[in-house]
Amino acid sequence: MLGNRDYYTRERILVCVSPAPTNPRIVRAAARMAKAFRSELVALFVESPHTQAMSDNERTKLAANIALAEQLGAHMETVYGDDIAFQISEFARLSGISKIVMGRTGERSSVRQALFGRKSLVEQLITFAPNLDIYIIPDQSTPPSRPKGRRRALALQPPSSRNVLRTLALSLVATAIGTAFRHLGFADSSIISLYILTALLTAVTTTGRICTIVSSVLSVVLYNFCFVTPLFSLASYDRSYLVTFGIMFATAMVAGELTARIADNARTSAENAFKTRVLLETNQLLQQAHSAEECARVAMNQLIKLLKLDVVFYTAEHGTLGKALYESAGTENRSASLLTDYERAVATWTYTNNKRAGASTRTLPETRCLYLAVRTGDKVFGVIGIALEGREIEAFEHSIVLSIVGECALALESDRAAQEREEAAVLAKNEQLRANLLRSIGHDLRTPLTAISGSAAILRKSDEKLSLEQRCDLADAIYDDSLWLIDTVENLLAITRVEDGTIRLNFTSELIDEVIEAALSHVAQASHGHTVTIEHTDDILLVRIDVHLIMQVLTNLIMNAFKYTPEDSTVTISARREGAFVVVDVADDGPGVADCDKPHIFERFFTSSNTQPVDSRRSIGLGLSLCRSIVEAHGGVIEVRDNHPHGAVFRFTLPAEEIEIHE
Amino acid sequence: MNNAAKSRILLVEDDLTVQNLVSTALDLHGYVVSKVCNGQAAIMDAVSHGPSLIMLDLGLPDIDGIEVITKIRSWSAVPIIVISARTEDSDKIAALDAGADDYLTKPFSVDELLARVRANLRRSSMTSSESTEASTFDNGPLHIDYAAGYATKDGSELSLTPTEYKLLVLLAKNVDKVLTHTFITREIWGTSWDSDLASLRVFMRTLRKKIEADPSHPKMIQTHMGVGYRMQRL
Repeated sequence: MLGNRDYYTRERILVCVSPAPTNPRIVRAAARMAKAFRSELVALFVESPHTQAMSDNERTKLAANIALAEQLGAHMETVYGDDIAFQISEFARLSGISKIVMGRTGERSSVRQALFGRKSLVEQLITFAPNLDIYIIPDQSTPPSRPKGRRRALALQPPSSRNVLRTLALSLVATAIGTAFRHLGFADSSIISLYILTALLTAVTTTGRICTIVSSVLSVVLYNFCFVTPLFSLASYDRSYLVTFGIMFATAMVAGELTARIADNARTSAENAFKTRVLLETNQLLQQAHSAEECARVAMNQLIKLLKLDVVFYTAEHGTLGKALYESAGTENRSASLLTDYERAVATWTYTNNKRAGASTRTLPETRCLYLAVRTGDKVFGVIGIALEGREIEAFEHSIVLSIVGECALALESDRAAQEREEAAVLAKNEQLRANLLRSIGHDLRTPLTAISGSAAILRKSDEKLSLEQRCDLADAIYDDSLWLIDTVENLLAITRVEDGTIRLNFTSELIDEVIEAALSHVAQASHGHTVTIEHTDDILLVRIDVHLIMQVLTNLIMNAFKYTPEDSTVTISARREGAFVVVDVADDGPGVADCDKPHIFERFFTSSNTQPVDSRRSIGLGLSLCRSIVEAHGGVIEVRDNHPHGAVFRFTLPAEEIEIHE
Repeated sequence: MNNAAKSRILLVEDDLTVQNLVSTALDLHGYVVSKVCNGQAAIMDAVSHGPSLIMLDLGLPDIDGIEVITKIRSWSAVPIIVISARTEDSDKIAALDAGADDYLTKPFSVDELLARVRANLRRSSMTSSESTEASTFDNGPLHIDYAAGYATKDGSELSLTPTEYKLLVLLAKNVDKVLTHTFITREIWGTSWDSDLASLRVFMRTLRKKIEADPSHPKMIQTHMGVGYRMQRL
């Protein structure tokens, strides 16, 4: 690895993949060379309009050769273009290729190349990229000229009956118009032009070259038959007509050929435009997706649009594959056969090894789906399965598929990053709250602790000097402050239980009367001359609650009533059923809550500046915020209202439980 | 206090401050207190001295408090009061189900502590002096005739449903002892599901209405939130 830094570029060897039967030899030779040079191997397939006309046999061979290249460690790439040499050289230039390995396939000069002055692929490559080292692997058994062979294959495809009819119709129309021209006394050259136009139109409107050739021949024959003396025979008196026929045929052929090529290019570019559109659309849709699942769905739908095949998606969760999503290409739902345990196992293999597997690959190929890892670098975000149904993914589709999968991986990565940021923000906020809480409490605990330790110290050291009354006062101070500490600690414990979120509330069925009773017995000793009354109903009010937390709510509300109302005030606690809820009121007839405090009274650390507690005991603004947290955790609401004629009513609701009595 | 003077209480508590507080309080009220700091010593002391009552902190340094209860229960019916610092009910319920008679949650008041000690000592002296198969039961205005199968309040017969009567008998036979919800529902219905707990709440309410002098301030049957019920001797 150290050595690599000494070189400006690394060796990269390019090998061209084709369906030719000798291609494996060339690929292997390139792989050996790459090993010898310790360089990276890149396998390239140039997709041109002609590749679409490949036979099934050729397709299978191509797929096998691509698989071989990948197996030998090559990085597979596909480019598009009519001009193969130019595409190879451009690719080589852009991706820093240093050496190209190719077979002699198609390099023998043909008559046509000689005629039209066309250079061989190697010669063209040398012209386009003079800096490349080109290695030729000699090969005798190769059938002649690949592009030419393919073109012939295309040309030899039998034309459809529709195309044949069209060709014949055009020729007949031309003949009819020619007859009209003859009657109108137009020159023969007009009629010849008419036939050339016919050949041209045939080339444009039909596919395959046979129709063009037929049209050219028909033009010559019909012209000879209908317009050259002797009429209605293929003989001709004037020898010069032979030349006319020849030129006419050649012109029709060349025009037809050129037109056909334009049509081919148009088709290819339309296809490319479709692919580009699918990719672009994928990109846009992924940007709009807000969740990992939406991203997965977008990728799946785009793949279906491209391939018309069923797609499954396994999301990755905590180091294993999570739930499987399924999208059908048609209306039929095949999820049952595609989401089997075996298919999942292969998908898991893909996930853990970060390599493709399943149908059409060499790893576990007996599955229904081809599995691709959705990844960015080493991070795998999921596995996409494409139900091939025995079909091969063509090279041009393949690269689009990889692009879509790649886009999806990027979207998932950014989604995950956003999620992590959000979690970090929540964590930071919680930390902030916790810090505030600790600061506030630490501060508020000092005072009672000072009172307790100070009083105790005095009692211990100067027992004899103190009067009985003084000693009682000190003991009372210790007692009161420790009670306050106990309440505060209870609240803190309750807060950690409710707001931690990790501890589940312990719900049991309770009678609200019993809970009120128990809460009241807790606080009874703190009532400084207050009267507490409970208004009972005859209804049996059963609620499903965490009884300690609800007791804490009641305790806090009753203690607040004691604290903020003068002695001899009355605190009334009542409970009743209202619809699906049990409503509990803790009402007092004290001064009430100021309107400006009402919106904030349940906020944490809120302490009113308007109201001072009667016993001048400090408040740290935890009690009511805790009440709200607890009540909301139970699915109820808490609010403060005015009592009539004066005072405050704290009202909270709890979902009522229906009663089912077992005798 | 003559009776209490003879009572020997074993205090198992590893926190010295609390140990000191409890032993001082008990000492002041005439009980003899022996103090130990761990479970092994507690078992040894229970074997060798045969205390009248054990106060046991659940959080011991050597062995689990529940284990101590189980070991002692294997040979002795001595009242055990558990002291727990945790607010979680599960600890108390586990201790009660293992054979403890009562519990105290820290922080507790000295009055509460003394009341529990008195109640448990009384209960154990009653069960040992009177036959557990006594044919009648009296508590304040309440009178139960087990043999005849009826209960009266201030001399007038109570009309109780069969379930209410079963519940009342169960509480009366375990007077002064905290019975957990699970224990009660198992005894009454044979199961202990959530729906049984709801039923128990309802029956307890109707029973209280019939036997308590003021049902809104129940004295005879105490509610131990999240744990269970106890019939208190009036």
